[in-house]
Amino acid sequence: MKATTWQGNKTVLVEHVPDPKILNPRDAIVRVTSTAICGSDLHLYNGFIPSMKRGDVLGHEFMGEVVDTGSGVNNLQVGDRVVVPFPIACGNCAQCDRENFSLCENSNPNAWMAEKLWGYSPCGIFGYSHMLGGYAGGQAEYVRVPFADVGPLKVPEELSDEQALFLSDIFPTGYMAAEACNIQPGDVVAVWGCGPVGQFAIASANLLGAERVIAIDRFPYRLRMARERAGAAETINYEEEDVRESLDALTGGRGPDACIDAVGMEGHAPGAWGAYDKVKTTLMLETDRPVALRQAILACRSGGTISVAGVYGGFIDKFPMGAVVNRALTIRSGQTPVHRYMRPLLERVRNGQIDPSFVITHRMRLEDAPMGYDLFNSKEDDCVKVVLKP
Amino acid sequence: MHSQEHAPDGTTLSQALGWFSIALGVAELAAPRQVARWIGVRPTDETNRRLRSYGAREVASGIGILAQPSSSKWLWSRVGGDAVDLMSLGQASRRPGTNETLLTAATLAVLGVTALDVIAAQSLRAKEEHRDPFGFDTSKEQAITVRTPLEAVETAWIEWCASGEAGLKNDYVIRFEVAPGARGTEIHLAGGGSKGAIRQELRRFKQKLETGEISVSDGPGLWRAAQPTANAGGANPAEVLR
Repeated sequence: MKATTWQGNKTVLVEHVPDPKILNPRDAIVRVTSTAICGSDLHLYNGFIPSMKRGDVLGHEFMGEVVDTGSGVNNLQVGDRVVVPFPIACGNCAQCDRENFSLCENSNPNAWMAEKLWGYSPCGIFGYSHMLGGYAGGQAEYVRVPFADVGPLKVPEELSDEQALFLSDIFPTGYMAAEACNIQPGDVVAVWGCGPVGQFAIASANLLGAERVIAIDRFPYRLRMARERAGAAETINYEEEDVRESLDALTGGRGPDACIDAVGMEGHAPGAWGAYDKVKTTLMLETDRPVALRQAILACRSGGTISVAGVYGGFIDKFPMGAVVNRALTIRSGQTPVHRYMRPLLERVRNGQIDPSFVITHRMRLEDAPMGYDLFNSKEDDCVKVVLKP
Repeated sequence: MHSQEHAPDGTTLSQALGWFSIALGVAELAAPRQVARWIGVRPTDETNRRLRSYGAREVASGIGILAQPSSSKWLWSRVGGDAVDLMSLGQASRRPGTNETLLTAATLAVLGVTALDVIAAQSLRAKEEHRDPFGFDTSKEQAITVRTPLEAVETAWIEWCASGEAGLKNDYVIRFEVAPGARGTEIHLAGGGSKGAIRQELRRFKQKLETGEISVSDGPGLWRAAQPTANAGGANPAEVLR
């Protein structure tokens, strides 16, 4: 089959690799009909995530048709159309029992590697480094889905692939980020980063009753999408204006009640902070560039919430802990337990509250994945979201 | 402290022995005549000299024990001193003017203290070497919690070992405890191999117990790319369950 493989820094290839087979009773094989490049795939592309190996099949946002099931999968049948959550979860362990599916204790066969970096291991993730399981990903014609009796959700016929695909990751991720803000009447929510997750965080904050959402980015086309499609009331281009001063003015001197970091480890910033992190990460003295997180912490109103949806991998410098402690900020984060959110969000799509396909800017064949990665990474051609059709 | 939940710890006992050593030593240094009378020996210049030198030895051992509470060497010095004391007491029994009853009582007392010295020294040495009383390296004890009642875990472990899926090659000690708050069962495993091997074994057992299968990576470790293989069984042979 054809599959998108990681080849080192800023290189992916679409190669022929063997077809996947059922390896465990609870496995299923899915023929992928739609798959997307995630912003977190760019962290792999840019070499920010350790434990990648040349030839790794990428992709954790995908959906398709069940073509084979193991003897332990009773809820799916060949021919079912399913969307698959990016975290792999067993459904049996103590964390799965609490619906913390992204913290599954049994789905990472390479848990020892994650323990070295993070203390304990989270769940395994499709196509996202050996440290997170070494699972072949879904930017391919076929994919093996472990614990297929727990994760995949059958998609109703009336929904298109493009409406259902983002239930696999970015819609639940943006939604969870907004939910973590515990939005109360009158609350103003600021969102750093207007990539796909940021767009869904903005849209979800509106769904959850935010008074106003303020979107922050540096690309006019993303800020336009935030305003026109996701429903941001105001936007701030951080290359043109000072973010904290603007937020202060826009919130009557209070600061946003909640701040969402939808940027993560590869943030950019003008001036000294941006340069500081660029130098430190280049010299390997820091693994992540937390410019958005620092700014969000300083900008948030006292007693407010910082919701971190962006992915961080390792260690950050100059973390303003003084602001967190002295102004009693709450920091919430986590990889999204997608299983928990898929059904309720599917309902929101079905009843027309949101059409997640609004983020798609590029549709390509699977073979064009290298171009898709390049466009998305360099933010060329007004690229927000690339969907690949195997 | 964690260690105080498990008797015998050795540290508390050795501290008591340290203070005892100093008290006895000070008595021997300051009042050798009185000490000689307590143990049923007629005081002479020679017994005074001997008891003073023993006293100096006791004080030195006591200070050593209290200054280095986690080191067993000062307790072993006490054991050596006990042997010298016992020999001296044996010699004294042949001397005229000895009160046999008091001397026997003193000998029994020293024997008792010697036993305590040996116990304390051994338990401290075991701690130094990270070994439990069975000789297993407890510094490598690893634990995991499974969401299964204790009896079922014990049965499953026996089946696991019989099935040939178990990967422990060396001798080990395994202990099952009920986890608090209905969290299932804690499994504690010492010995059996390297830390990494034991942890991996516990994870595999937990996977099998909780999910019915053992998770299989397409790219185990870092030695193979995460992509399907032509021979599916080649992914991670030990872990493939068809």
